Amino acid sequence: MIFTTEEILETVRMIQLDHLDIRTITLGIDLLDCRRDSVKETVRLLSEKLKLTTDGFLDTVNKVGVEYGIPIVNKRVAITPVSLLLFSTDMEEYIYLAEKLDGVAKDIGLDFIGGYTCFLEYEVSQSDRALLKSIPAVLNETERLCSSIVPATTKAGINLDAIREVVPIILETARLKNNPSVCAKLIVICNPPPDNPFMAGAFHGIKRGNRVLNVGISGPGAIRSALEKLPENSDILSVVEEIKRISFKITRAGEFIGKEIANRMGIELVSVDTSLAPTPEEGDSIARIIERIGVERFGLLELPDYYSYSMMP
Amino acid sequence: MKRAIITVTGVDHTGIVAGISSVLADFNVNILDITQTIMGDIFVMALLVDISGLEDVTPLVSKLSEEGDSLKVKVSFEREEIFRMMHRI
Repeated sequence: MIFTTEEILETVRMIQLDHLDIRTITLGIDLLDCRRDSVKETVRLLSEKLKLTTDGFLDTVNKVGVEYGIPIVNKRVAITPVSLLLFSTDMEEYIYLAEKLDGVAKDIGLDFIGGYTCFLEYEVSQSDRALLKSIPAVLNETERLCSSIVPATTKAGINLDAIREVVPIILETARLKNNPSVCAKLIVICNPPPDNPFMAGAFHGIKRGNRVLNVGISGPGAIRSALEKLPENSDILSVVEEIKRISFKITRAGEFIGKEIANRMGIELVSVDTSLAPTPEEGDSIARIIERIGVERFGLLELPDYYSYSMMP
Repeated sequence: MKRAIITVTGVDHTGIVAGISSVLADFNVNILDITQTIMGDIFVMALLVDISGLEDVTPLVSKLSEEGDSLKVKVSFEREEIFRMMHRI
């Protein structure tokens, strides 16, 4: 046999017991070419482009997942930031666009679509303000659309005027009762990367190409379980060595899966991310890894009620 | 050649090898290599198989998992590349 039984079992164990999976496959789609003078026309074109460019996406992802034996959990799309697609002072037009985007995401079968995004680090324009004001209603009424606001960057500084307008939006969103996961679909972030595949802040970067693929691998469970096998009094260097070894394995496997999907779709794989985000699975969290390294306890002894709300993967 | 590794784990009893290999024969999948050991009291078998002839592996994977259920063993199916990526530089 080309692999030892131990090697084979290690991989199978990672997948079956330690929840090693491909957490997300995120397809970035450029929608800048859909901009037209009329809102209706813009929305129609971008809905159409989304449908065309995601054709076969889910099917390919599911097939690769079964064939390679690694579960692929979330299928998502990141689009060009909406603040660059639509310029309007009418909040209703943004809501109209948002509902269409959410509808298309549902039709395609995506778990999330990201890019309801505005950049406010220099100024809050009239159209930014309309978009901003639409966010609570949009997140309340849509299911899969994710929104992000950028009020500061290291280079531009913090735009305090923007902060003053953003805070009421956060509070209003937090008070919505419709759906407990509404808040998980909004992120206010400084210094996002110019192309960001991470929900809820995901958006497709300018000049990133027409369609690109990003892959995120979930590893906390696999790393925790490897650390549990180390002897009790291991020194920190053996802990480091073990983390390096396992990270290498899961990253290579994830990158390979990403490349395979990208190849089948005829597009480029542009990023691989090892996710530290927790899942609802017991112990599948970075906190358990740090506790294993030696920190006594992470988090509160008694969990407050809101902790039971579903978390954004 | 497209190759996959099928791993079977569970409590040892008669008929496991026969059950799994007859599913593979039904799908015209050739076994290239096979290894089995007992670890503690757990039976572990790994089969390297050639799946070049299969357009879509989904029916095979679900049949294997059904067969695993009736044999009371866990069957998992992964393409060989996953192991190569993890264990070979």
